[in-house]
Amino acid sequence: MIGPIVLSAFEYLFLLYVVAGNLVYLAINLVAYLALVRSRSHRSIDALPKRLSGLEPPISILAPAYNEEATIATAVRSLLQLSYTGYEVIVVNDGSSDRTLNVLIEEFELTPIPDVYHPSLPTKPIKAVYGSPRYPALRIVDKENGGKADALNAGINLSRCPLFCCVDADSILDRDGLLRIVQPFLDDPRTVACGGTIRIANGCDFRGGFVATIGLPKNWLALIQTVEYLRAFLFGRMGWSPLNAMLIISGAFGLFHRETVIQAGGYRVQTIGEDMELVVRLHRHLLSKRLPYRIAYVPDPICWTEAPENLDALRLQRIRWQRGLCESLAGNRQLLFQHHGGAVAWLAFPFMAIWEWLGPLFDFAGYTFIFICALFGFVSFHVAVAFAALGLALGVFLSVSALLLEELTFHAYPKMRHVTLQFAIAIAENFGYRQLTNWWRLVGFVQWFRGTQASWGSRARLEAWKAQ
Amino acid sequence: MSLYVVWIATYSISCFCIITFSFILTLRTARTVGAAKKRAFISQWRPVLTQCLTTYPEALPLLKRHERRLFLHLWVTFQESVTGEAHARLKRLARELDLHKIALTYTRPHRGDLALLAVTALGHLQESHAWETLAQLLSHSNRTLSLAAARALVRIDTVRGLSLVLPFLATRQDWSVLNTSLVLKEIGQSISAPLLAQQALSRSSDVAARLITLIKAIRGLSALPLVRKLIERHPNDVTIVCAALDLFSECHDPRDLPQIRHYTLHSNWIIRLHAAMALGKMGTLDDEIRLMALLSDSEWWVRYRAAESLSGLPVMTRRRLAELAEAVPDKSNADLIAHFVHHADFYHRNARCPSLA
Repeated sequence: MIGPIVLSAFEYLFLLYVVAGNLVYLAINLVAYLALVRSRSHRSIDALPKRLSGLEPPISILAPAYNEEATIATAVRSLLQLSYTGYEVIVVNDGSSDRTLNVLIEEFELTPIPDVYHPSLPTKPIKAVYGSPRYPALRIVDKENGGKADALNAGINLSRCPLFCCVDADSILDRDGLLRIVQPFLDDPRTVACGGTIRIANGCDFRGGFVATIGLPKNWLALIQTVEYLRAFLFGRMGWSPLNAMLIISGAFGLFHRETVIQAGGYRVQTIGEDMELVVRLHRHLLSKRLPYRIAYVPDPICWTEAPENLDALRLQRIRWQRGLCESLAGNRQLLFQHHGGAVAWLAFPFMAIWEWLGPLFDFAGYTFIFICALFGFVSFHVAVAFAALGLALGVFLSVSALLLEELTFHAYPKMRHVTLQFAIAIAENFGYRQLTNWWRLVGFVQWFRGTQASWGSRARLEAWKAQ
Repeated sequence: MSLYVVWIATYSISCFCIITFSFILTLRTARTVGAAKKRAFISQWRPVLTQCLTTYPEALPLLKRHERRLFLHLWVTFQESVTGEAHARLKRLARELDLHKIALTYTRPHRGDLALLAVTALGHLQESHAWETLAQLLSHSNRTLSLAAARALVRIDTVRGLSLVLPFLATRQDWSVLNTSLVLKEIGQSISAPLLAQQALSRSSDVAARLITLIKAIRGLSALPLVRKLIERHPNDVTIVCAALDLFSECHDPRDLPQIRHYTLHSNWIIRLHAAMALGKMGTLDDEIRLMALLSDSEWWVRYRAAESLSGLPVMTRRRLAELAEAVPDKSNADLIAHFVHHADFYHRNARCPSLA
């Protein structure tokens, strides 16, 4: 008698979890749509010819590099050509074991320079600072290996500008990316951080260090990730941003107010998801001090990054991301339902905790439960199929919503074939890919729970990038 | 029953996905067709507008109704790109095509992007009939639209426009300094700067500091006497003093040097920092001793900026800097100067690192 009731209760609980999660995603989608429409309502004016006013705040671009010998020269050359009035580029070589430093020295004719800096944040020792007479805005910092967060902290110590922009050394920014991402800082003095959109570089053509033609990757894994990235950025970030509740600014491209970050303690060295952890901690720090602040997201400045094209690299990346998320939320759990915490403490944090942090666990438990019940005849085969079909339809729906947002706003992928292919991907990714990434997220969760040691990780670079 | 609901939900969501995809395809098709039409329009009208840069065209093509928006965008783009007499010819062309009347019909805020273009065009056309409409837009919650309206108003009638816009410069914190400075540059610093300073005298310190920053953005030399008065009234207000020191260093008036020198001794390190930076831009060789004293400051950034300012003093030589570095008892402070000695040698003074703004 009790058995069927328990079963039914579990059934409804699982259904409730799936439906509630998707309803929240739908609500975020709606907010994102409204925010995107608003942000696009002055695109014609933005596109008018502009002269740099000289009033733009100076920016230090920080590019931590670890074993990036294949792409570092191209990436730095591209960074040196951005359209902006006052900026410096600081590349932090975090004790690379390959020829990263030598490549930089040869390419940019670097020599050691005496440099002075205020060690506001503790870091591993700096071995040398290099400069180039040909590129006065460029400095290379060679330091002992301490991880990405440590490298970024060293970069913050050496930066001399009020804002710093962290970029991955294997990423390519749009030429006017800095001009666009700085806009929230100009519009609202309370802004302490701002994120931009990351898109997949695989399949695009590059010329002179910038994207010349946008295309879709030929590799199916990278192709699926183009849809995933649209979902994550167009409504993941854009949906939370108007509520000032964004918990992630990608480490590949984000702009921060230097002093605020220093006051919050800089990047946390012990975590692998230093980018998310910093943003969550900034929220916690500023809310606890009752200081007015804004963490913004601008969808147009685009940073192009290389997506993993093999399962092994993708697995490592997803495990790392999940661990980072777990560490960020667990380390800042005081933010949950914090008094006067607003949308970030009462909406975004609980949502992330239930559907992103514990999500893989619930997903795994739910699917395993249904499978076991179906296997032993507690639940009919039809019920299991119905639930799976509903999950599938909701998954496709979220991806298609992201495609719609993309079409209504940026429509960056120019050909009709691209749209059709992405729709096909939005369906296909639900058959195996999503389950696989969920499994890796579960592995990441377990690794975090067990406290397994994490590191930078490395991956082979694509030939196209090396050939640039 | 629950199974039935699950299947209904699944079918509904699937249908919705297919409808959404069809909508995406329709949008894309419409965009492709629109892009072809735009190309045709541009190929017809761009040569006409380009000709306007040198001579007025003898005959104009017919502007079709569906091309109005495209024309508005193209015309505004040209107006924003050119200077001099070409402006007048472009205005004549626009009036001949009734662009001023067309633009007036597009100014409602719900038109978003189109309203912005229309407001900008009305400003360029100095369309006095749009005055009331534009004045109402000044208080609109959309900051881009309200700023565009402000810019249009001062273009149409500088004096009247300024009297309308001025109160908003103080109250609209959402108007960025950069974009507001564009409006003020339209007016000219000699007119706008004293009025801004006058406003600053009667406002709270945050607003006053913002107004001083605006004066700095337009290099408002004519506002300096009033700003000096303001700083006399609030000698210890950090936001006002820092903003004023930045303005002084931008304007390079030697009469402000005593005030700047005085602030190198202030108890607040942020004020000392700004004073050190200002001395770097307009100090004389007499200030060497003050900057050397700041090298012993308790705050690293004050020491750093003092060393940078020392290296930037007029007639400062590499040899003198090296001598100063040797004379400094503290090694870390000597390193600060040595850093700038090397910096000057290394980069041949072609480029200085961006200063802390």
